[in-house]
Amino acid sequence: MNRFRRHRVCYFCTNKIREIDYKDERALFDFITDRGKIMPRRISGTCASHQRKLSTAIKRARYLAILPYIREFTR
Amino acid sequence: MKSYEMVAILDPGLDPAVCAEKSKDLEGRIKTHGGEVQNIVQWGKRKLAYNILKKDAGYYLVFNFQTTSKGLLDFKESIKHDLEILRYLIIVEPKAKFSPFRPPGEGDEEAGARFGGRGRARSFRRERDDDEMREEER
Repeated sequence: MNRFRRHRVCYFCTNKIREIDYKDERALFDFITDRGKIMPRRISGTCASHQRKLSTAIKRARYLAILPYIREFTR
Repeated sequence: MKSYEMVAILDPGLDPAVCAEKSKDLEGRIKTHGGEVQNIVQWGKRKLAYNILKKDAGYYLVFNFQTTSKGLLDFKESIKHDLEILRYLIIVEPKAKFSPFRPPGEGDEEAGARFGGRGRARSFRRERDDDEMREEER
């Protein structure tokens, strides 16, 4: 599946997820790029309010070494 | 009294028994500063996404507790210089939970190579889908 295909709907809205848990590494993993950057809204299709919550969660996870700040690029 | 959540990362060099003691010690400290501990979850030893103080793993502890703002400050002060705690984060507990956290299970073979691969299993899919994917891989 093309990871960067444009999704029109917010994943969290469609699944009625209100809060995003910073401890759920597997969940957050889908919203970071190969390099470990936060995926922009225009690619993931997340709505504005959920994108704000998501970015907070990712930043918390990074602080706790659950997610990396940067990921090494390996060939 | 507000509800808080704390995640603490302990030194990986500690003995599991010492970790259990440490968890009780932290619980005691919250209580001595006028708090109540609701729940403690131990994730066990986990690989860190990057090194902290030259350590590449850590014991994760999650505390759910209630305390006053004064009690929280005192508690933070008391653990500030503890070298066995690599890092900790205290947040006001969110009202609704996103998903019940599954501690990394024994069957999590990817734990070591967690950040190596690209396009890993979509975690938001239901368990059923995950199982189907595993079968496809076989």
